[in-house]
Amino acid sequence: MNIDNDSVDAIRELINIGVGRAAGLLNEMTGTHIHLKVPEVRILRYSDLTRESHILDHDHLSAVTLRFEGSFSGISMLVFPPESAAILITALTGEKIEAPDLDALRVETLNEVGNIVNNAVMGSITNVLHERLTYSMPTYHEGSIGEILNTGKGGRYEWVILAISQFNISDLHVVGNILMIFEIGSLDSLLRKLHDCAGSAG
Amino acid sequence: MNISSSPPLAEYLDILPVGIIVLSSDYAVVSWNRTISEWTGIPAEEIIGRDIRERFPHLRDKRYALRIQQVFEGGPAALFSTQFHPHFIPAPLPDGALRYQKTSVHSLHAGGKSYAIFFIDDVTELVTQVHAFRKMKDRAYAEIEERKRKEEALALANRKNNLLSSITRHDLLNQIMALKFYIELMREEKDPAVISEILQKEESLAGIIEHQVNFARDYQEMGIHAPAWQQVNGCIERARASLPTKGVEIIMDLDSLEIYADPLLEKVFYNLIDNALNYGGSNMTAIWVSSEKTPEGLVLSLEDNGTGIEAKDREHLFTRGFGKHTGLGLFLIREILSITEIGIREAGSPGKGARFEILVPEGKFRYARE
Repeated sequence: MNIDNDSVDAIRELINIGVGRAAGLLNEMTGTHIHLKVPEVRILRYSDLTRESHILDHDHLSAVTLRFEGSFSGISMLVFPPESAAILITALTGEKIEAPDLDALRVETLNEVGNIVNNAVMGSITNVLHERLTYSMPTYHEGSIGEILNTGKGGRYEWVILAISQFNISDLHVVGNILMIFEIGSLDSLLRKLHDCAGSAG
Repeated sequence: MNISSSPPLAEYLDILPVGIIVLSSDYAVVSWNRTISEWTGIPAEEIIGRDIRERFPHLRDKRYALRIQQVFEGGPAALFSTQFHPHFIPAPLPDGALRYQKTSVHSLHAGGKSYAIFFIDDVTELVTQVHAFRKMKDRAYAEIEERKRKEEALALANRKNNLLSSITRHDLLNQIMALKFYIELMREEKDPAVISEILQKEESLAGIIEHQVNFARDYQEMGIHAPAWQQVNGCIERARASLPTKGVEIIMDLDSLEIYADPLLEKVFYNLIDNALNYGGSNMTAIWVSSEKTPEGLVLSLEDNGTGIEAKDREHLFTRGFGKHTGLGLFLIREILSITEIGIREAGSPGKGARFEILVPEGKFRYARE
């Protein structure tokens, strides 16, 4: 599959638009000033994922996932090492605790934060493409990346858009990953649609 | 099951133990199930067909509207957590408190129209339990921290005690050796004048030994009991009561200041005031005790208007053996304070008075609640 620089640039821009919207919403909701940056967007093979991102090479990740199906299918997720997730949530909620951990309520809060980010990124892409997808219920998972993706069905995933995301709240910097993992043929379909869209706009 | 003979959808929704609302894309209520009706006290017939925002205007807010709009447009479900939206549709409990809720909003397309379906869970019980668990955990964590702090302080005091007991033993042996030497001299001496002189020296040595034994007793107390919060006013009052102040005023401006220190803290103030009374000179009239917050913590000052301390002496002031007497008092003060990481320095002006500054780090001082 041919992944040219223009395609990567277009995806980067769409992710940045989505992430910007998510940050705006989180600011409104929490009353804290959150700056959400995506310093790096890469497209890589699913089999290279953990090798390419040390954040994902971890047995115990916290992830908020959203499955989508349609003209392109896969799973979008916001992933953190669990300590980072707990620190982020306590900062967002303004809690002052000595040792942040993820209890049932904080997991639910993280699920909402992930839901906002995933929805904003997916919305940004589908709006531009005028595409309608079917979504599953957003869910929270813990485990290795393989466990989260239930890779018993391992062969179905092919390409991944990896967006390193950085949440800055006051002096706190928490790094997580936005992942869009595509089933076989799906990234190709997305890139073709982006290309068509750019062509018709031009 | 024959679908044509099934009860209408509203009847299914009514038996579910969650609040369910269906809105059309203009925010008009299409369905309002029995649970949400019971929670809010609003019967379905009163709200169906009406814009939900008339009754719940907060839903106009961007925090809700943007995300609900995305659902109407066929986007993914929107989740509203208890933390950020505890009362999505305010619903009181019998005691008047509001139910805690967890809400999800889903897209629904039927008959060419867009709807949003809201599922609202009452999670009051879960929230209460999690909050109780968090409190319990915070308390346990604070107790562990307190215990750790005490153990560290006790271990430090133990190390200091071991070190000092070996030094004291060494010093005592030196004095005893000197005493034995004078006893031997006395045995051979016939001249009463010389014998009287030797006796004086022996008495002086006995005095030093007695003082060292007393000091060792005080020092031995250090670190035996865990550090604790102590009211500074009270410590100084008790020290003053056991000292002959001879008309020297002690003026305190400390509010309800408390310091986390070894229980020998009172000894610190006793020794500092005793030093001022002994070496401040006959013109000294007052000792002022005050405190000031600084970026590093708190400075607690004891200042007098006596003769002061020479600048060259400052460096060795707290060293064991330095001073006009045995040099144990200021050394002991520094050791007691250091158990809980409190420092001390002399910052007065020679000729104008001594000023001892006790440097208390953050977390080791507080003001007692009224």
